[in-house]
Amino acid sequence: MQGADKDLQAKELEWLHKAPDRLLAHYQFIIEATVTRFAARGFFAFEEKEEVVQEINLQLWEKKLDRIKAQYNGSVYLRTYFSKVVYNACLEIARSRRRQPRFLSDELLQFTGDNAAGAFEQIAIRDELHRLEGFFRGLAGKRLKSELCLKLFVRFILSMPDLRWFESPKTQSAIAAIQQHFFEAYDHLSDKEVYGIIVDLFNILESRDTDADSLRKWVQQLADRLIGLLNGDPPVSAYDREALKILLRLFFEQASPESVNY
Amino acid sequence: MALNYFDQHGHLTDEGIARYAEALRQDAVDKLPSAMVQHIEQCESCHGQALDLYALIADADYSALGALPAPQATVRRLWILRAAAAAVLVMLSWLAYRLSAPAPPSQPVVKVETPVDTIREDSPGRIAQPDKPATPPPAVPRETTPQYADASFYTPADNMEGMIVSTMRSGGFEVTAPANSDTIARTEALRFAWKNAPEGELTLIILTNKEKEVHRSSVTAANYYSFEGKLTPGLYYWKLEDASDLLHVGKFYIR
Repeated sequence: MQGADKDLQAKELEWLHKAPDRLLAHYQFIIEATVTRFAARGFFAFEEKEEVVQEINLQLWEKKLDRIKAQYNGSVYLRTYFSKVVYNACLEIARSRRRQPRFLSDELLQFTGDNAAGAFEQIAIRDELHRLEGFFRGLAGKRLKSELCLKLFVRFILSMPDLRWFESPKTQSAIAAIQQHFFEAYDHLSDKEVYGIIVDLFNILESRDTDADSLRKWVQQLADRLIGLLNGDPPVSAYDREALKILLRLFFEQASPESVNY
Repeated sequence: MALNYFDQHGHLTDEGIARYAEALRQDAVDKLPSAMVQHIEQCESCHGQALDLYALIADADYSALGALPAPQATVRRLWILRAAAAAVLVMLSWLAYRLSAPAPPSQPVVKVETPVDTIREDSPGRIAQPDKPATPPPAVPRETTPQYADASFYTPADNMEGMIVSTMRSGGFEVTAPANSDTIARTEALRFAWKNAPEGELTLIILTNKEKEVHRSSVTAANYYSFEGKLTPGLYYWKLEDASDLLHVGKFYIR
């Protein structure tokens, strides 16, 4: 890190208190990017983008920057806090204009899988994948199990890197069974069969005696929770289990196991 | 001084949401205050906002920003120092006063001895028996200490915690009682209620925090169930299932 850059957060803080016009000019990229995301999700038309950016600038200048000064405690980067304020402003504008987002349909997801979506759709899909990534990161200790189970939920073909965190002398036979069944297409297997095979691995690792049906229900609950989060309240998407499966497949295909830092 | 990341409604503030989103960015959710993580797990609204914000900042380049200073370090530290200095001064003044002032006279000890013989006014001429010491009230039998009322009975079950969700169903199924993590007195009625459940027989199961089933009932054509038994204090989970699916998993505490 260069010495001159080390003080950027401090500079931004100083601008907040002493030169808010400079801060606002400096943070235009955040406002632009956030409005673009909202437009990509269908809250605003592309033609409205500049107008919404101006409205947010006006709101910030008239009252919201003062509110940031009063309420920001400095426990996060100022630009993260500022992003949240701009996100709130976008939502307020969308609601005041009674805008409904364009629901991400499963067709759109499939389109993106074929790399045939437009730029806005690509932005929207990338955001969905980030939200999914955030969901998994938030699971912390339950992340590995959840990811593996959801891979099976979408019938994702596994490879050894998917199992590297589960390997131990105790789990050799369970891993062998997984290799035998899930290293090639297994769409023909029922949920009961799939979870009946994988449950042994978790029972060994967790010293439990969970049955396959309980695991199946746990995975379905996990998927439903994810659907609820992605859809939002009020709804900004219309995922059901099938649409979720498409998004999950896309996520697992793009996330190389080697690149995931646990 | 720990920051309060919750607003008056119990939801995360904007800074709380931002803190969670930054922790996702750093893949360091385990470093967050546990109250924040628990709230995120249970509050779909805050969780959704945090994921939205994470999506906004996930690709942003923060490398030029440097380390984050302690929250409002200068202002807060000065305030804390001044408050601490004032408190120390007050304490010292009080101590000086106590040491320099003459010791207050100790309260006289009045010892009333029960006379051996007392002439009672209601029966002059007779020697009354000394008043009997007041009979202590009969001991109220204490509530039997519950067999399992120790700390281990409140330890969350990881497996069950992972299943607790607000079920999202197309039929609008919704649990109305008990609220998740509600605390219920042993003496109170334990009532489970829901609405818009699928038709047919439902099964309600109560489990201990060790995932041991302690009660199972079938419910048909009703949107509530009253548990008549008594549970020992601790953490419990409950499940509602229909013939083909798990509808809800919740938890509650008995005190």
